[in-house]
Amino acid sequence: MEDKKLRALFWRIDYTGALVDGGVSTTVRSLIKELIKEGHDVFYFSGSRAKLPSNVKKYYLPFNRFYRNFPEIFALHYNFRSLKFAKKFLPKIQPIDFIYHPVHDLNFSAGILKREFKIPLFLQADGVQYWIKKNWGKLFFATLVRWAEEILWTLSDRIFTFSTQLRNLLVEFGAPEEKICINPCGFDPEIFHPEIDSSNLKERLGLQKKFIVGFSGTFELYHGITYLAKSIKYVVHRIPEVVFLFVGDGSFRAQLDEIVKQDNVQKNSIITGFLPFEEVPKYLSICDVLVSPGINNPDGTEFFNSPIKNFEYMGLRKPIVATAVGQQKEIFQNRWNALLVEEKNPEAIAEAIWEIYKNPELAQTIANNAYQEGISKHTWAHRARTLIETFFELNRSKIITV
Amino acid sequence: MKLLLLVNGNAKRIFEAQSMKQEDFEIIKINEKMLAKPRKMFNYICHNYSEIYFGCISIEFQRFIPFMLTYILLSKSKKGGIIDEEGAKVKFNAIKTILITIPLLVVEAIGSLLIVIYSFVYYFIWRKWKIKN
Repeated sequence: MEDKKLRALFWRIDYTGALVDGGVSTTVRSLIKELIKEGHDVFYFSGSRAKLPSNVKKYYLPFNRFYRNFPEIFALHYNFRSLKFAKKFLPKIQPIDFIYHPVHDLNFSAGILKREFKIPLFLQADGVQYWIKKNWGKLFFATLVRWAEEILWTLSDRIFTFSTQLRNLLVEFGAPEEKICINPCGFDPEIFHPEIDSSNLKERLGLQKKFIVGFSGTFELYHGITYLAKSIKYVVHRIPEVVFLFVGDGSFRAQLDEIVKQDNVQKNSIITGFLPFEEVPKYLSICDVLVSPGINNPDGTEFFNSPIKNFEYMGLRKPIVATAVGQQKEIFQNRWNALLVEEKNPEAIAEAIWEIYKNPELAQTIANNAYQEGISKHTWAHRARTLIETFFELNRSKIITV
Repeated sequence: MKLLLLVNGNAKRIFEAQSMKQEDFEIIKINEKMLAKPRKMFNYICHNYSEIYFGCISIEFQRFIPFMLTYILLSKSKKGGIIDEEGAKVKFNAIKTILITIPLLVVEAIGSLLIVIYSFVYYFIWRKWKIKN
């Protein structure tokens, strides 16, 4: 039974605009890549552009241009539109063994598909949509947001989520605990590895003989990017040749620019903006230390993300400085595979960077340990295996809810 | 002096694609959420710029274009448009904005209201009965 080659449908209904890279995109793409490597067939449905292996069968239904200006309506309309489309194409690609669906607000089309076509449904819950909208965005039609999510939770067979903290939040909001399976993010060792050739990049950026502190990711509140920016002046004081390399962009870009300007450290920082995913490893590979400054949420809930960057940093065999929050406390042990520091504390971040700078032996040790840990536990292949094992386990116990 | 309000994307790539000179522009980085903050937006556009542009990665995928055109309409210069990294451009035209873009936005708002009402009924039925059967 476990040797059976599966046919999976990845059902993605979020709008990414012109961006083809990002956390969800990387997760989905990496899982698909690993499933294909194992010989499974993957079908992919989406309303947004995506970079995927050529042997994935793709179905693309663009979002309606007319409803583009009110985001909630855009999502509500796509719930109906995508469903109508799926009812036409799904019978043609059957049998499908399971649907994998990253949850997005206001859309429960995957639940209806599961019900009508009797296909097991695996959700990928990056958060509680209601909570995310309320705390990080603007919450309109709160009732509909909650209903859509509740319907999906009820109809799903498994809810894959990234961290213990996120599982707790999901349970608090009513997700059935017995369906939740923790499957953190990971990294691809073919892309993030210690032997990346980026010899020209340092010269191109004018960073020869500089001590480079790196960060990659979207500049959002929970990534704590402003605290890292505030640490620059403290580091410059001790290491004048330091340069902070911010690889990414996001809604906190303006604040980042402002802090850099206010602290007069423009010469010590480079902000690349969004880069194509293939470029990111090259930029990170020229860094001497990589930082993950995540913070707990303003409403008091714990940091619940599983930053992909943490695993990619591990794969690059670089010394890591991370804040002691959420999953970071679980995957990193202080002074063994990272330096853990207090959250929201720029001076503590600066102190840890200084320690890496002055103690190359410690830097090497934690980088090596992080790499070994990453390779043995945290690649996307491990995550895809969890997905497949869950499918077979579910099949054996025949508890698929139809 | 011209103004580029960079919604997303890379200013350098946009100027290259549009064959424009970066030194002619003042660049302000904004995001889509800022478009919903008129006071902040008017602060940016109230100065005497000869042209105002909104920059993005791709116009094809860019949302909120009618709001951007309305801001240009309300600015002093009333010249400019929306430009992207792929070389595409929506040139601002005051008459077109008043007679087509804004009325279409109103129609969209009415259509949206209908979708919301339908969704409330549909979601309610699914939650109350369908998932239990």
